[in-house]
Formats: sequence, structure tokens, C-alpha cells
Amino acid sequence: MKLIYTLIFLAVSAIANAQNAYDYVPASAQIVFSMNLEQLNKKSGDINYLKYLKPLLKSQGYGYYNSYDSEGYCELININDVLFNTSTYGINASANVIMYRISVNKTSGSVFVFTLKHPEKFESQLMANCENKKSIQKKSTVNGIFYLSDNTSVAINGNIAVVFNKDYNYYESINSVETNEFDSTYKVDKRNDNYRVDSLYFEKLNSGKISNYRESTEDAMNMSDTMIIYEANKRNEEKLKAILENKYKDLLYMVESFVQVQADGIYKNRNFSKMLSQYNDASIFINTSSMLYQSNFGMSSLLWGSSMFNEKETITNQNLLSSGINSFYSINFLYGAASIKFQSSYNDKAFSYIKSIFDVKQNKKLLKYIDGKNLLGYMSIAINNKEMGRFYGDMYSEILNNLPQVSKDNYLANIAPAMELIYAFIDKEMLYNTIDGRAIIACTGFENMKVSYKTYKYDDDFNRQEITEERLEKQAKMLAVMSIGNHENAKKLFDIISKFNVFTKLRDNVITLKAMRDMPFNLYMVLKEDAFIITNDANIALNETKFDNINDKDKSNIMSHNMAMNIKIQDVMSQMKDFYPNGEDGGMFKFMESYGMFEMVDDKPSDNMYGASAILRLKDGSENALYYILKTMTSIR
Amino acid sequence: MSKTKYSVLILFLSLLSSCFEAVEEITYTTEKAGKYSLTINCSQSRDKISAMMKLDTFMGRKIPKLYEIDSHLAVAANALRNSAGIHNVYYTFDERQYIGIIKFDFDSTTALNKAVHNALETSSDKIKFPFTQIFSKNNLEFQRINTPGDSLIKVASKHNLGVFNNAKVTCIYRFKQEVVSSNNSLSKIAQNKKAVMIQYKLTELIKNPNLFKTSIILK
Repeated sequence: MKLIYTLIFLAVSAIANAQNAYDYVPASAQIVFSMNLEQLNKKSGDINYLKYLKPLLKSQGYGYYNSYDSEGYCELININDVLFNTSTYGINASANVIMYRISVNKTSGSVFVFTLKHPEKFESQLMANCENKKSIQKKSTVNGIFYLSDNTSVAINGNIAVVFNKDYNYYESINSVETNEFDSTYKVDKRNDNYRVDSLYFEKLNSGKISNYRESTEDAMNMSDTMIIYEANKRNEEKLKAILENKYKDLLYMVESFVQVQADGIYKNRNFSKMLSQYNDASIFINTSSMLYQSNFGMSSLLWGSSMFNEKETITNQNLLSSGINSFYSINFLYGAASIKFQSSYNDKAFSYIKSIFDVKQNKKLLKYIDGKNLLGYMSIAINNKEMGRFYGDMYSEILNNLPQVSKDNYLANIAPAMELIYAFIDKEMLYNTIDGRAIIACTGFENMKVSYKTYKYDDDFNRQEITEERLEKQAKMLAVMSIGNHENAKKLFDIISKFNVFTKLRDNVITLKAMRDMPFNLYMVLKEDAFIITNDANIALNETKFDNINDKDKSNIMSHNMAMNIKIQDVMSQMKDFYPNGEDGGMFKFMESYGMFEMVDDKPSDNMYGASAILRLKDGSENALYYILKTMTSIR
Repeated sequence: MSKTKYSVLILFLSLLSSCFEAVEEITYTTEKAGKYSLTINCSQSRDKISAMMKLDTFMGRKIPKLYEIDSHLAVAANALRNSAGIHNVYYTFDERQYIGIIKFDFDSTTALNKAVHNALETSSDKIKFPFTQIFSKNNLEFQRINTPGDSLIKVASKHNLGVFNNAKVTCIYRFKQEVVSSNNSLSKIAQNKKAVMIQYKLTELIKNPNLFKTSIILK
């Protein structure tokens, strides 16, 4: 028996003292953003990084233009202020701050979860900037202390504080009741009182004792019963309280649920918990399927307001290809490098498609078109187009077939067969195997290019004349080389494209799009036996130039990964140096010179997951990458 | 590569410097009245601007759309039209070369000062421009006294000056009378003696706005 009590006590205290703010995030959260303020503050040095996160960390929900009303401004809490002044708000900065988006029935918004060191400090800061405190309703329940208002609500439960910024809801707001006017009791009381005051005044008037009419009228006004308005105000306050009580009942229920350890929490998600087990400075989890299902694949917004809208209709079949798809992105700033990780998770059914999409190697023949000696950056991708087409085709077909059937004449029911009909006419070989899904985009140096511009010259009498001059500019040599599956089809398409009059045919297999305002270079399209090339490098387009000089590391990355990317920032910057001087104070260029390279490779899909990792390296390893990136960003002024 | 990625690439590599020139011309057709013209020519940075225009924002900064630039010019032109002693207001914006021109006729130098102030104040909702007399003229002397408010310099100096490294400003003042002398060491007097031209590097002007101050003695 003692053992059972001990276990119960341990279980209860574990829940009561739950330190991990992630335990409070429900599984239905659509996007979960988290960051470790202590680490980020330390790593960012004296630079304010939060200003770059402002669009994400809005203090108001979507759709609110301002927080003013007839009785004045009231801000329950300012999220940016909390993040800037963690100690003032009693926040435990060593624990992660979490922000997630949620949509429950018709209510949506952003929820911030803070771990508190001093809950009383946090509570004392609420409504610091509030003239109209009446618009906030305070409640205490067994689940915590709650401050509720139209757009922002706060809940404090032990060492956890939750701020809910509700999105503006037009349909909800037009139903809100105005309480500025006095009730009918006031009108009756006031009318009776006016009769009383009038009869007293006439009595005085008839007595002939009035010498000064103005004064006597004012005296009569003072005879009004002030209790009438006092009582009316009191009744109004009670009415407002009742309205707010009713209005905030659902809100309270919702906010109460946010400040509870979630039985069905996001921490149970395999991808989420796996990525979370690694140390991260900041991370974003995108719950794609939750976003899709909660909005009926975007259909609710389409149907909102129409007779076909029915909020109770949801997609019931949860065993679709799209079910359970989510992605996790994380970033970690180290000394001399920043590491970025990405991982997507799929259900068994979808994963079989994903595996076959990536079950392909890069086409080795593409490498000969890339000048490895001058390679400044590349992005290589190798996927099976046919399999990808099959995956998306099946996924959308499933979604459309599972849309809620609102009524018999629902046009939505016709979308799926209409799509099937169109798809049946499409030549799949032409669509998926002309360009087969394997491609490399590369930058192979810079070349000087003459650019004309307008300027002025002045005669001896300083009369101005507009002239055209030329100057040299650096132009990146870019190349996109794509593997061809069916050459016959590729030739057929190439010949059709060549007929458009925007292109000039230079050779049987080369066409060009001449430079224009938004594209200050000639663009060449070349059809080779094994590849289709788009480039601005005339040498590649017009000569039979072949290379075999990509270094082993890059070659290995390209050949052994489905996705590989490398930008040699240091080399790019050294080539640009002469053309982009930035004056004595350096500017952005000075900082860009100190970046080494950016590298990204993916992992083979396994265990129902597919992911990639990237690293941004600095030349100098003695400074933290966050500090350096922020220095670069602030140099753009 | 998508249009946006292409723009980001070009922008990323090219945002670092910007070449443009501004030309301010005042031509006195009588002793008091004359013509004013301001030209901002960004033709040299045309490709960079085109790339940037494809973006809505860059590093949190809003990139204006062409119609917004045009609308700012229209607002300024309207303020000029509503200023006393100002006529024939004309503005144009060449969207291919990114050259903006605004010109008008003025009845007196006082009217010119007020008009410039009105145009600056109306077209800028964030920056407050206290009224300052920029130009002064009597029969024997023309003076460029001040820049349009210190705030303009303050705003410019908050930016990385390297961005304006190749930018230049040209001021040309033409008169009915002949010019005797100019106290600005950068000024050149025309062969017909009836005009003065001063060319500045924008970075120098931002560092030392007093360079604008010029006194021209007339015959």
C-alpha cells in the first residue's frame, strides 16, 4: 500500500512540478516555434536579435488594427517587452520560450508559453500599460489565475505562464453587446425625477419668489436625484460583468486547457521528440497535417459565410497519405559555424512513396558540363519525377475524395473526377520523363559585362546634356543542367519552344533569349544528347566544352546524396571585391568576406523520416556565428 | 531558378554599393523669379534596383513599389502646386532608367523656399522638417544657406555611408547678371560668367553639410 501511495505521490508531483514547457503544447498545434533566450542572449552579444523576430513574435493577434476603444488603451502584456526584460517579468530564461499557432473551432491565435522563476513578478507586470482595466477580466480557478480580454489573455499556473493572442474574428465581434447606453429603468426613473424637479420649479415660479431666472434654473437642475445615475451605472457595470462572464466562458475554458500538461501533447510526436532531444538554440515544428485537417484543406475559408459552410464538417478519414506529415527545423549557433537541421516525418503509407522518390542517383553525365575549377557554388537534386508525380497525384486525389459532402449538389464533389479526367489526357512520359528529376544548378565564376547608363555632361556655360555611358559590371556565370530521360520527347518540346518569337535560334540545338531590362544578360537554352542546359555562359552554350575537374569532395556529395548544396562564400566575395567597394566603414561586404562556406546535404530516407543538415562556416572560429550573422545584418542600414 | 531566388542572389551580391546622381538647378530668368529643377538619376544602379524591386522587403526593410515612388512624387508635386508663387509644376519618373525629375517656376526666392519646405514636409510623413530658409537672393548676392533641415542629414548619416560611396550631387545656379565670385572652394564659374556649378560627393556632404553653404556675389 505504501508503495502505491509513494507512486501516486511521485506521479502527482511530477505533473505539478513539470518544468518542460513543451508538455503544455497540444498535439493539434500547427506551428511550434521555440528558442532559448539565455543562449541566444549570450551568443548575440550586444546586438538585439529580437527585432528580426518581430513579425513572428507579434504582441497582437492577426486582424487587430489597434487596441484602443472608447474608454482608452489597454495592453495586458507586450510579448516583445517580456522577451527583452526577462528578469523584470520573472522569466526563467534558461528554459525555452515557446510560441505555437492553434485553431480550435472558429477561434485561432498564437500561444506563448513561458517558464517562470518568479510567478508573482510576472503577474505584477500585467496591465502596466492599461488605462481601461475594466476591459480585462480576472479569474481564479483551480487551474490557475487568468486575465481575459478580447484579444489577449494570460494564464498563470505554478511556474508556467501562457499568453494567448486571439486572432480577430469578425463574426464574433459584431455580436458583442454595447453597454454604453443606460437601460430602460434609468429612462423611467429619470423621467419621473424630471417631473418632480419641474413641479418643484413651477411651484417656486408661481410663488413669485424668483428674481434671477438663470440662477433659479441652475438651482432646479441641482435638485435632480443623483442616485438615479449612480444606480444606472452600477446596473451597467453588473450587466457588463455578466456579458463579459458569458463572453469569456469559452475563452476561459480554452485558456485553461493551454495551461495544463497536455495528455495528448506534441511531445508525443516522434519527429518532435527526436529533434527536441538534440540541443537547439531555436527550432520550428510545422505540423502540416494539423494545418490541413483543421482548415479542411483550406476549404473552410473558401466556404466561410456561404450556405455550404458547416463548421461541424471535418475530414473524418485520418488514414490518408497526408496524415501525420510534419517537419522540424532547428538551428544551433556555434563558435565559427551555424548548424541547421531539417527533418520530415511521414506515415507508413506515404513513406513508401518518399522512399521511391529518392531511390535514384544523380546522373554522372551532368558533371562534365560544370567547370569544377571555377565552381563557386552548386545545388544538386536527384529525385524520381515519375514517383513524385504519383505521390502528389494520389495525395490530392485522396484529399478531394475525402472532402466533407455538405450537400448533394456540392460542386466540390466534382473536382476529383474533373482532375482525374484531365490527368487521363496527360502524356505521363512527356510530363515526368522528359526532364527526369535530376539537375544541378551551378555558379562557375564571374565575367565582366558592359552596362550602359544615362548620365549628364555640361558645356562651358553649364548647360546640361543627357548622354549614355558604359561601365563594367560583374555578372555571375550561372548554369542549370538537367538530365533528360526521353530525348525524343525533349527534342519535340525544344523545337516547339524554339518557334516562339522571343527566342533566337543560334544552332539546331541552341536558342537564346536576348538581354532585357529585368535580365541584363543573354540566356541560352541548349539541348544536348543527355542533358538540357539553361545558362548565361556563351562558352558552355556555343562550344562543345567538357570538364572533368570537380573536386572529390563535391563530386562525392553530389553523387551520394539526393540533395547537396555548397556555396563557397569566401571565393564569391574575393571575386566581387573590386566591384563592390564599401568605403572606409566596410559595411555588409566587410562581414561577408569573413564567411567561409555554406554546405547542405540530405540523409537517405529511413525510419519514416527524411531530413537534411546544413552548416554555415566562418573563416574565423573564435566568434559565435549568431553574433557574426547579426553584425552582417545590422551593417545593412 | 525562380524569379525570387534570382532576385535575392543579385540583390545579395549587389546591394553593397549604389551609384546615383542628384542635380539641382536654379535658373533666375529675372532678378527675382526663375526655374527650379531637381533630378535624381539612378540609371547606374538600374539593374540592382530592378532586382530589389522584385522583393517586398529585404532584411526587414520595405522595398517601395514603382507606383509608390510615383505617388510620393505626385504628393510632392501637389504640395508645390498649392504653394503660393509657384507655377508650371511638372514631374516625371522614368521607370526604365529610374530617373525622377521635378521642376517648377517660382515668382520669388521666398516662394521657392516655402515650396521646397512644403514638398518635403508633405511627402515625408515620418521625418519632421523644421522650416529653414535654404536660398536667399538680393540684387548682388545669392546664397545657399542650409540643407533642407538637419533631420535629412541625420537620417542619411544613420545609413552605412559606403552605400552612397559613388553617389554625387551637382548644384547649378544660373543668373541674369554675371558672377563676380563664389566663396565655395568647390565651385566653378561658367565661361559666360552667368552660372556657377558645384559638384559634391554625397558621402562628403553627409559628413559635412556645411559644404552646401555657398555665397555667390553678382555684378
